[in-house]
Amino acid sequence: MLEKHLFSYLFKSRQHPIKIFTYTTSGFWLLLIPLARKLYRLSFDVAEWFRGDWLDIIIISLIFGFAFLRWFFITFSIDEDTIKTGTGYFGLIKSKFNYNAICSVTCSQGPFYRFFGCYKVCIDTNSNSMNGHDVTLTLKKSDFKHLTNILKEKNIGKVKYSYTPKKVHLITFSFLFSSTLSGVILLSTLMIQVSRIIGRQLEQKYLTIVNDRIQNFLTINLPPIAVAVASIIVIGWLYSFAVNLLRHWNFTTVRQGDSIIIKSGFITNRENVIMRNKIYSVDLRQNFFMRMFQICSVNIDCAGYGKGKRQIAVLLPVTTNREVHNSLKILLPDHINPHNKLKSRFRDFIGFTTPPFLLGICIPILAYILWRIFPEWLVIIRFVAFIAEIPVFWLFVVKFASIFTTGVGFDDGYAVLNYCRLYQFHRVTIPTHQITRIDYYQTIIQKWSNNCSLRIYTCSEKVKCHKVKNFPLKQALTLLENQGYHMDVK
Amino acid sequence: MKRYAPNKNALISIRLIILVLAAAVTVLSYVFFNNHNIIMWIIISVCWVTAILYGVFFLPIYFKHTVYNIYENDIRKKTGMIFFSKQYMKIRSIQYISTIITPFSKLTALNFIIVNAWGGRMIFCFLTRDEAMELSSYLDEIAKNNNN
Repeated sequence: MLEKHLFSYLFKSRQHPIKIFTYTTSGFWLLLIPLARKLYRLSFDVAEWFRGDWLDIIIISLIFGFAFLRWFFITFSIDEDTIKTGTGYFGLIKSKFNYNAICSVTCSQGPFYRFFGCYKVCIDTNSNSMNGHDVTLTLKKSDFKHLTNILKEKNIGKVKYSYTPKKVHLITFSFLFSSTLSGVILLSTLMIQVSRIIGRQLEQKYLTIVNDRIQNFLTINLPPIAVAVASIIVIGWLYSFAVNLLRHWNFTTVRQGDSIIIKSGFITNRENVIMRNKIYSVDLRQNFFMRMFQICSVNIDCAGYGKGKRQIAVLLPVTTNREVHNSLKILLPDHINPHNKLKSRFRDFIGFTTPPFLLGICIPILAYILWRIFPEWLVIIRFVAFIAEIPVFWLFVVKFASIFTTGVGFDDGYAVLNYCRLYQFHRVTIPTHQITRIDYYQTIIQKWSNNCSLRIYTCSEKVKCHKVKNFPLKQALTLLENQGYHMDVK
Repeated sequence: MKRYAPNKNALISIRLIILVLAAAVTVLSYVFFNNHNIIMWIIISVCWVTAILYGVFFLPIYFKHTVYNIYENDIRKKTGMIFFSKQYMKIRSIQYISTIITPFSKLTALNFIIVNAWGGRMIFCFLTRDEAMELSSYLDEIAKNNNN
């Protein structure tokens, strides 16, 4: 009996053997180089080599052995109605996923995986997994084909509707949604690592070159540190832009039957299969410029999609305000577009503009205090304060504009929430049964003007909070009452 | 309503594991800190005090107070060692089930069921193997129906 069990365990489906190498430590290859060099120097005299470096060889063997065991114990089986997995140490965690519970399947293939003919597959359900995705497997081509055939089987023969954005739209999208911060973090990490390896000469050389070039180009005198910071921000942003563009190149959205298939990528090819009935909200995003030029980006909330590092859960990268509803009708025919029933009023502009206004005042005060403490740093303090005022001023402008867009509406089982979070305008459409909690609250200013703000909590894979600000209290309570949200506590 | 509780065999198993771990730490600290008597005794005493506290006080309290109730529409769990909590999960929110059946769990009762539901999870610990199998197949069926 035991023999039979062991024999069947040996022949279970496992991940692609290349996964063994990713289970080793990241510096594994660095350990191999000196050992290989020594073996070559000893003219492949293995006995002598082992005598000299036995400890290193044993450590590497242990690392590799541990990775092999991890790979060996992770098993899976793809059946007609379920996927069964054995994960964790010694494959002890046995999970069973019904296909109907799956919200999204994300497949990706980078150049390394393409060379070995394997695919990274991430499976997600609505449960909130602690380690990112519910299951992540590196599959062989045959297993991958088997899985995708099952997932796409019920949609075979159904009409395909596809949407492919223009390349100009993709460049605009990458331009608008590139994060300077992530680029700067990556660039700084790179510089720190390089400095560790070859010392600080390169960093100083870089700063000197950038400083000289800028000073030649501009006639004004800038502090070197300011030039360095500015150049890092610009290069960081460019890096983030390039990564975003490569990730979303060849972007195509296809609706076929119950699924939406999103393909993208230039170096790493990605394919996301999303179950249409598991998309919980549609979010039309715009920043101030996008609003001016009447373009927007459509994001969706579906467990697993856009979950990876620096990924965006985008359905339509960039489209015009005129086309967006037609495109959504093609891709999500059940989607409806309710109108605002409750809008914020212009006379409540203080509620919108007070936070950036206060922040704008705080910066010169803080700069003044710093100047009193460190008088010799006047130039740099003045420069940093001036730079810091720019985003705050911009925030003031955006918040002022949001007075005209903020609103809430309910229609036909759907709610629409129009609000502005930091620099971004959101128009979220969500089924009302996804709303788990609504709070209303009043600040001191709102109490004085008899206004309130709403916090609307929605539940999908994670609980999300949407803050919609500054409505007349009485009208807000009446609207909520009409929708069955009784806010009276007796 | 069905009522489940952690099996007493698991308590004995955990006590044994704690004893083995404490003995291992004692031996290791004796080997490595033999020349630093104060450090050695601090490690040994902290280790044994923790082991005794858990083995004699906390774990029995945990085993006494932990109960799992399976109703038609919801699952309820009462648990705690020092602070006690009650958890509630709707049956219709269950997405999928993971089970952890350890080797020799018929004797040790070190079996676990992880109920993955909308936005969260609930863990059932230290059930007997038969109970774990029965409960996991019942919850599996529910997960299947929920998603159909």
